[in-house]
Amino acid sequence: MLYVNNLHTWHSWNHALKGITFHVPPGSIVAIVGANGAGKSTLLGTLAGVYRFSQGEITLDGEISKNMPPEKVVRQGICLVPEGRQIFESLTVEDNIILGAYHRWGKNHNSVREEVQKVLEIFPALAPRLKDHAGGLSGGMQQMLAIGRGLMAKPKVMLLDEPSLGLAPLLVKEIFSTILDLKKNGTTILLVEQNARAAMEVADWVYVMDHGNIVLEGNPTELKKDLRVQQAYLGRGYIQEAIAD
Amino acid sequence: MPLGNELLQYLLTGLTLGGIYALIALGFVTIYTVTGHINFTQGEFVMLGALTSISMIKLGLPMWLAITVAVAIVGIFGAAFERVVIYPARNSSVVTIIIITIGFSVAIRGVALLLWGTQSYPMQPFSSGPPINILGAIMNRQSIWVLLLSIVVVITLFIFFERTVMGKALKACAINRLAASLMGISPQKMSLFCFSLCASIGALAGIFITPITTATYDMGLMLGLKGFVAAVLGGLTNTTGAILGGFLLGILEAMGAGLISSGYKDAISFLILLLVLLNRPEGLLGKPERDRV
Repeated sequence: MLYVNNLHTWHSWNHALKGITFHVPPGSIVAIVGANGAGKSTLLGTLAGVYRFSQGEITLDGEISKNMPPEKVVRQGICLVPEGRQIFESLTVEDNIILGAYHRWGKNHNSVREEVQKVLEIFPALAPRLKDHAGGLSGGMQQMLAIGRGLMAKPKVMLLDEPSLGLAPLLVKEIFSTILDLKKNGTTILLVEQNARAAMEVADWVYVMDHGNIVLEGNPTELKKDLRVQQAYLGRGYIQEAIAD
Repeated sequence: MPLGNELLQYLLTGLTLGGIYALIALGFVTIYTVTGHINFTQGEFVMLGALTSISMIKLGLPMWLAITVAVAIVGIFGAAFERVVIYPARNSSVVTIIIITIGFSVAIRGVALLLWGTQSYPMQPFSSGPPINILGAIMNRQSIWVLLLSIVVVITLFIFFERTVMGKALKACAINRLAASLMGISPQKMSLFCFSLCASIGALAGIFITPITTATYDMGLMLGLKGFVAAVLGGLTNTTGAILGGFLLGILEAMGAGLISSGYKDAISFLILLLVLLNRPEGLLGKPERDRV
């Protein structure tokens, strides 16, 4: 279980997170939605060690995490799949996947090879491209690769930052169906999305962020009925659909 | 000597010089790609390797053991340099780091002057025997050792970067430091390893060239600058370019020294640097950088 209590983060003089409190139960998908600049990516960056928090507490399975660099946070069991994929473009697909398990390579590299096969079972489209440069993959496949690389870290909680960004609607559907499959396999996911509609389709619980605060929370079914959420994040089309229903 | 033989002679001399420049350039390129720092101390690692191995031999160690110990000492020195000098300034600008490394190289040279004085130290060639005649051109046996070393180092580095997870982690760090750290790769540890590796390669280059040139406390200055020219010539971010740049610089320098005057040897290198910077700043194999509007 991931508990975040009263988390504050500053970017120079900008108070980006103003006392965020929430939790992510094991085996669930928790989504954080909000407009641009709400602090969603800062929140994931802070949990992953990219940004330092000035106050508050992060607890993972009863262990309190202090400010640590990302390479240590991933060892604790929190793995961030960053916005924009951030794959190693000039390395092969296989190298990208293997590097996901870098922090435990020395201990058991034979099992790492087996885990590559498991990732390929989840993302079969990557199998024929293993020896290709990752930079040559389409946006959707790069996103699959980024998630697959993250899975190799065997995280207790996987943080997904805008996985649908820049993808065609069909690919978005595919990525979100994979996210649901990951949950079925027991992966705990904290999902940050601007595509609130897609996020609410897969999430068990949703937090709404605005200006560095959590302003609303609830299960997706309830939140979809909330007029403020409909107006701010689900768009005019959704409201019309809701009225028609 | 007929012109054909003369040119072949210059080519062989150039290849020997080029092998050394390529090794030093590899140090510049590896550190730059992984850490983003230009390390002007690279030349001093060459000097430290040469003089430390000579001191070890004087202490009575067999030559190959002395060489191994000297390379290890300089490798540790490189790691200590990174931790004590570079690491605290890791968030500084590129220019600040350059100034720091230049300043530190002057300091190392000063300490070397105190330890070893101003005299030249000779070293026995690794294998004895008369020079080898290749199609009328003469090549001494130590030059073959230098060429062999550069080939072995290049192949070893290739295997390291292409076939080992550690090598790929270093490449990942060079490609995207943030993503690498999110995968558990520590950019700080990679930087430490990188400085140690490049210091060791520099030390090897210094040791292998000493039987040809002798070793002095200030030999690192010019060799470091030539290595930098070779790295820029090749593209600064490209290891193949660094090797190509090293050999090209060595051959051009040897040709210029033979066909024009040996007095212009150094001037030729820096003229090449100027021409590259003015006409193709990205180097021979580098990709041009584009600014986003």
